[in-house]
Amino acid sequence: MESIVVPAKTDYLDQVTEFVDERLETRDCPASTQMQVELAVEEIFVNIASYAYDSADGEAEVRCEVLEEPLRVVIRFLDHGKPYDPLARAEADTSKEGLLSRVGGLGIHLVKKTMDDVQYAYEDGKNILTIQKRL
Amino acid sequence: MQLKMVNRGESAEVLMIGRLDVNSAPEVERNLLEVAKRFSEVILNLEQLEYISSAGLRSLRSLYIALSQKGGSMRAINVPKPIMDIFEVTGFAFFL
Repeated sequence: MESIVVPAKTDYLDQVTEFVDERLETRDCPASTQMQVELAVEEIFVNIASYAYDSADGEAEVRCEVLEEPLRVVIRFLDHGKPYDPLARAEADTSKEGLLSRVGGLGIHLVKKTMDDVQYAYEDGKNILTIQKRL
Repeated sequence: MQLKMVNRGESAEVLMIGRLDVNSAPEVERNLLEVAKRFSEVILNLEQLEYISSAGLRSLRSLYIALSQKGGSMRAINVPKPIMDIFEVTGFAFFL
């Protein structure tokens, strides 16, 4: 799996998105699918940038590969921050009232709804979040 | 991300061009809230919106709340399919 390591700061989001897009661009995937993959990348990377290291500096590693049969992209995010399972969060309230009173958890909700598989593990002092999407 | 505003008297039409992500959302939100101060009806023309994330959705939510508080309204037009899918998954389709 090819990988990129960047400081866990939102300023580096574009670099991560480009890294993933480069791996998708030869696959001619639908605009909707590509946007959903970019969206999942942003939500997860922003989560790491915002929470993994509190206010300290840290890095995030993103690995990406496209697999065949079925054609799908697998993206793995690794950080050395405090253990945190974003999938353990309560479901986001997406009623109109819920959205207007509080919008926490919307990012991870989007990831769960748009990806075909999302898995979290904590191994060797690392948070590892893996997403898969059929292309 | 670029915003273009057309003044239609009572209402404003805002053309959103580009990507509404975590990095562009804060400035977009500030600009939309300025529009909400001057107009009671805002029409978002999303024809050239290429991308939206949860940060972008939150900036639209702020606009909706600001307009609601003064008895105004907003709606979105020309919503591209990929953007519409995101609105529907998150429940944000209510302001269309």
